[in-house]
Amino acid sequence: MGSTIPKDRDGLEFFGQISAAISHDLKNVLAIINEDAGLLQDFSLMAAQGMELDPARLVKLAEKIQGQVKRGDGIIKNMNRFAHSVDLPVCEVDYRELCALVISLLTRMASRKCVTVSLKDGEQAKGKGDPFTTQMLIAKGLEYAMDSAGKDGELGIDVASADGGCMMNVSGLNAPLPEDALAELESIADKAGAEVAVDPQVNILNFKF
Amino acid sequence: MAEKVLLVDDEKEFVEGLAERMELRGMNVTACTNPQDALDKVDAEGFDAIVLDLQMPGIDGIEALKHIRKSRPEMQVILLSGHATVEKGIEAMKLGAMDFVEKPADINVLTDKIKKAQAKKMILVEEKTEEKVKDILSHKGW
Repeated sequence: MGSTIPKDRDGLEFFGQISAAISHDLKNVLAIINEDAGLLQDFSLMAAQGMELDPARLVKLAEKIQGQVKRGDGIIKNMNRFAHSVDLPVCEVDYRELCALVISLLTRMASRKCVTVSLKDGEQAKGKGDPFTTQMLIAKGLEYAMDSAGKDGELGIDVASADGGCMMNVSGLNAPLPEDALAELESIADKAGAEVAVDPQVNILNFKF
Repeated sequence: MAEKVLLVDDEKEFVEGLAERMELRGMNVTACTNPQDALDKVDAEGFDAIVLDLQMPGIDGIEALKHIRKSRPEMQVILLSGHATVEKGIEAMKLGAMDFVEKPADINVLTDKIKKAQAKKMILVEEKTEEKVKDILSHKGW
């Protein structure tokens, strides 16, 4: 039996990349809970040997564990939304909401590259589109924009309704995007039914959905 | 003798919790959340073991490991990772890391590895001292 090659290897790679980042974040959450639970165990063993327990310390540890459970829950909620983005090939999407989700999913990448990414305030920007491919386009665009912004760079994202669709501007680029990066973005934009452009004068990456 | 340990991870709460547990076990711990600060500490003072996260902002664990192996080869590095794969761990071992631990870490396993790191460092320092003494004796005509 011959092997089958997935039709959309890019999409599969993107899914894998995001899943790996999520698993990494969850491992960190579990590691913190593990240490805090371990401290509670250490204190209990010390108390059994006659050492006095500080109730305030115990409350603080319990709060830290609850905080991490909340953080883990947020990560899993994002993971769930991301996983369900492949349910329908085309549906009504809120581009602002998708953008916020992608920024959350790329937090670790931004932190590793020492770049701050912020979504500017605005209203919902709805339209019909493919949620998964749109996320892949935004994520790839942000990845290249982070490289362009460089260490300690700041990217600002503006999402707004325009002409029955949506415009998304990523500002804060510091260097032109490499030609192959732009070609890759254009290829994904084509699949997402979108357009991509870079304004070199103002260093803005623009998506039109 | 208390093991002198440098603990480096950008997750502040993780570093705080683990450092306290290691101190309860009699270790002398310096905690650090910034990889560059950690490398400065490595250059400035001695540690028996360095517990280093593999993925950090700016400088990743592999780069930090290369720096430590070059500037202070006697210090033993134990890499910590939230990666669920062993690929990076193998790369780290090839680059001279003493060991590799996956998060969440078992404190008993980590403590055991730190004790082994201290013993290994002491042997290396003794060997280096012996070499120096031999070198001095061979060059001085007394």
